Amino acid sequence: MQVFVNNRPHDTSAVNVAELVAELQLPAAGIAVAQGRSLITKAQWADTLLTEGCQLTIIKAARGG
Amino acid sequence: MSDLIIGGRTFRSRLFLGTGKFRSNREMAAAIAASGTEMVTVAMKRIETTNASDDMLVHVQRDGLQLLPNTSGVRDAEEAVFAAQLSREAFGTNFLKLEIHPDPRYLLPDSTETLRATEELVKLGFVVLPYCAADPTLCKRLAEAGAAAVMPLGAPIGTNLGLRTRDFLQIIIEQATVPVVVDAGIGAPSHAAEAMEMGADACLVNTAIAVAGQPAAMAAAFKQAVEAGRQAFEAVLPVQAANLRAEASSPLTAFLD
Repeated sequence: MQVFVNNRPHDTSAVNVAELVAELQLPAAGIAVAQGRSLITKAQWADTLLTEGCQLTIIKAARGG
Repeated sequence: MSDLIIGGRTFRSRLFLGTGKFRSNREMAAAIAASGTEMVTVAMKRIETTNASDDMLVHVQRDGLQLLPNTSGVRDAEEAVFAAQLSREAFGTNFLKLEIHPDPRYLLPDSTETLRATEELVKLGFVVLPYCAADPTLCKRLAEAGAAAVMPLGAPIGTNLGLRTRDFLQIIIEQATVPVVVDAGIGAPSHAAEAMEMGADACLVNTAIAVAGQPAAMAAAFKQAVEAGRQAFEAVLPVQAANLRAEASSPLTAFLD
């Protein structure tokens, strides 16, 4: 199915957020995932099912003052 | 020198470091080490699905180093609260540098939204350090709202102009019930020393160190300046004369007569 990660289309075989994070080869630490304006905590990743066209935001650390 | 306590954590170093604008992670790490800092800022960005590398976090997740995630990029209180929740999840800390500056030209903080966000974030358990205008009334209101410290600006971000808000910083420090961290505009170690001599509790420095010819050496210079300024403040500076008339520091008896 296709989901949107940071407004970009992404074709995935993952069924939940945990699988998507693994598929993207992201470390579990140092990132945060949200759907719309709702944070999805790490504890919720495995239980949060992806749906066609869903909009996810994934952030990580950057250098900044 | 006395310790500084913010959010229940004790800091021996009164120099906080911003991590923006460094030419590389390596230069940043060297500057952090040379500065002796115990608190560094970190920003957030969206991951790129095509490039998951470039991880700056490994350079700042160290024992004794408190992360201070910022909310740079948000435009109002609602966005700040969302960003704060993301940062707590990603970095595992309640510490937060709240910065809401929707104006891209001068990057001046929005006082109304900053106060609203502080009230909300304190309720959510965050240790809120708001970047704010050097406005004594606003700083009192932020402290009353539960801010763990206030971070008034010396001059606009990245300008290196020093303490252009000097007189207002003095009032803020005089009235403070929470630590005062001078943030933004500090462009030279002498600026930091001046802020500390005035009684600021800490300085947050970024651009002046990050873009210096030798960032680590500049970080060491700032470390000394902040320590010297604080030491002078605690030693109690003499009152400055109101006019230019000299006052002898040696006996004026004419011993050669």
